[in-house]
Amino acid sequence: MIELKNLTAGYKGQAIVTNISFIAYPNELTGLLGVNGAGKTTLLKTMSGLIPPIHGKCFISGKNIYHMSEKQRSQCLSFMPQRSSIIYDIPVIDVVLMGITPHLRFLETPSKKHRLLALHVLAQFNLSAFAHRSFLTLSEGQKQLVVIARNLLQNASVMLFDEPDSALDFKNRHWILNHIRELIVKSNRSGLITLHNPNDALNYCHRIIILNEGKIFHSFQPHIISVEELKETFTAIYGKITVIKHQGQWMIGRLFDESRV
Amino acid sequence: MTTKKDDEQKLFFKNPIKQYIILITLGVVVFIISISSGKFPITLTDILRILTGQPMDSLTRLVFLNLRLPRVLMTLLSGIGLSLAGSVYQTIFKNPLATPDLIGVASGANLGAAIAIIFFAGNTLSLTLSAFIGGFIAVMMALSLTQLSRDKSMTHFILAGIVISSLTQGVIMLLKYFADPEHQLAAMEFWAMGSFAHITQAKLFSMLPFFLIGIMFLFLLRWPIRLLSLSDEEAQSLGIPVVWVRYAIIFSATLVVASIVSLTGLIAFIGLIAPHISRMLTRKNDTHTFIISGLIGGVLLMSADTLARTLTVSELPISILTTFIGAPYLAYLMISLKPNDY
Repeated sequence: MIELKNLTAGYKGQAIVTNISFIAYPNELTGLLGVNGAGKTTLLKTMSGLIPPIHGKCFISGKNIYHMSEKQRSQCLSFMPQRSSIIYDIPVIDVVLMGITPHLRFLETPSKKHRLLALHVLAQFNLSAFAHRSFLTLSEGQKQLVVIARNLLQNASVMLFDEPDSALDFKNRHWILNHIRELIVKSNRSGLITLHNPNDALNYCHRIIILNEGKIFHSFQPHIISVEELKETFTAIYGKITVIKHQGQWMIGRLFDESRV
Repeated sequence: MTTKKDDEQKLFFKNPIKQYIILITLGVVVFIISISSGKFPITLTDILRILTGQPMDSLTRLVFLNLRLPRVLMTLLSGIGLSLAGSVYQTIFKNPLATPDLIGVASGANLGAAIAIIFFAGNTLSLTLSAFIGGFIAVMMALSLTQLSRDKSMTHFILAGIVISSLTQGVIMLLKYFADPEHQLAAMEFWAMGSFAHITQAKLFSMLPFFLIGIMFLFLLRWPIRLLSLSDEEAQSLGIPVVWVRYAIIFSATLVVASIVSLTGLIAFIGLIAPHISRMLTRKNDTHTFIISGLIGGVLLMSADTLARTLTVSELPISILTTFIGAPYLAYLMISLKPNDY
């Protein structure tokens, strides 16, 4: 479980999100939704300790993460960036193996046992055949899955994902989001994901927090919210929309003016 | 046309045992050629006699043990050290054009040498010591500058290196302006072209501790070095205190590079091209790639120094040869490589 208390975050003392408080529960994927510039990524990076907070606290299992060292923090919290920054040819197995780093002693290098663990995690994602391939030769979807496998090896109780679908096509996007949801539910972890597509947030997240102009605009659980309330909330953010619930799934569409060319 | 097998070889990694065997064999061959070439004739039979303790004339023995052997060993160690440091820098700065002198070690050492030439008559001890200290101070100044700036990202490390290098170049130009053109200016220019001509057994032993400590630290830091090939954010989220680990790596690499250039002067290009060749051979970037880069550098520099000693009547400065090998190779890389093909 990760809990935010009155967190204000931004760059160089300039606040982008102010006074944010919420809890992301275990076994749940919590979605952070908002338009570009709403402060989703800033909030996520501050929660993961990558940006120092301006004000406020962030607790994991009762401990303030801002009082932890990088190593302690990475043992209880993993972060997945929008895209991996790898530029050299690195074998997939080694990319996954990097996830064991928070559990290594000072100057220790991964052992054969760690390598086997990494192979085991790759097998869970049906990626065993790629273990000795260069990470750079994989498709964008496969790359993201490898990074998720790395995060799984990190074995943190809280997993943060920063728009992991942003570079993916339709098919891969759903494939990756499905993997993330399944992972969170099955492994008793708390997941927090930033997304920009409300349809994905509604269909993959157990709880949604909408950020608007640096503040929490609304938070709700998609499986119990009414069509009217959802429509009202999203209209305020995205403009004229329509909401349909089909076979238990939410679908949101933008409504255009009749005068549209 | 590439076959399916070729494609598979491109995609899958193997342990580079073949590359190790080839390079070590090549290294031994070049070492033997290098050790038996030079102005003072020493044949292989002479070397074998000296090494097995058989009677040999004292001049040959002296030249071999005190000059020839230390010189060839120094070229080998310099190639290994500069290329290994280059490989490490290209990894941690996520820049395939990074060189071991990116943070100012070479220009600092150059200034140190220039000061020794002007103010301490340029005797061997003062030159070596001053160059070593100069290289180290320059790097420490660049790191302090980064520490003072708010942004401690990789770009700021490079910027700090540029600031310090420019500053030292300015001082060097000032010293050159006031230098006696016949002796001091010539000595400064020669130092900057690099040479193994003055390596002796005593000098080799004096650099060894610094070199070995630096290499040992780099070896111990091999896993964090690989993690720093990720973005700072990714490395930090995996528990690496990025800024401090980067300081530790730069400090270790500086020990290696400063221990070399303080004795040899500047050696161009080796630290840039050997890591490239290594990545092309291993098709990956891991600890094996760093070691293989070192071996390639060793072989290349031993070959270059053998040529420097034998091509002309008087000996050529080493950087002339390494530049003639390095620049065309870089041009080849520029033309042939695709984006992201490092």
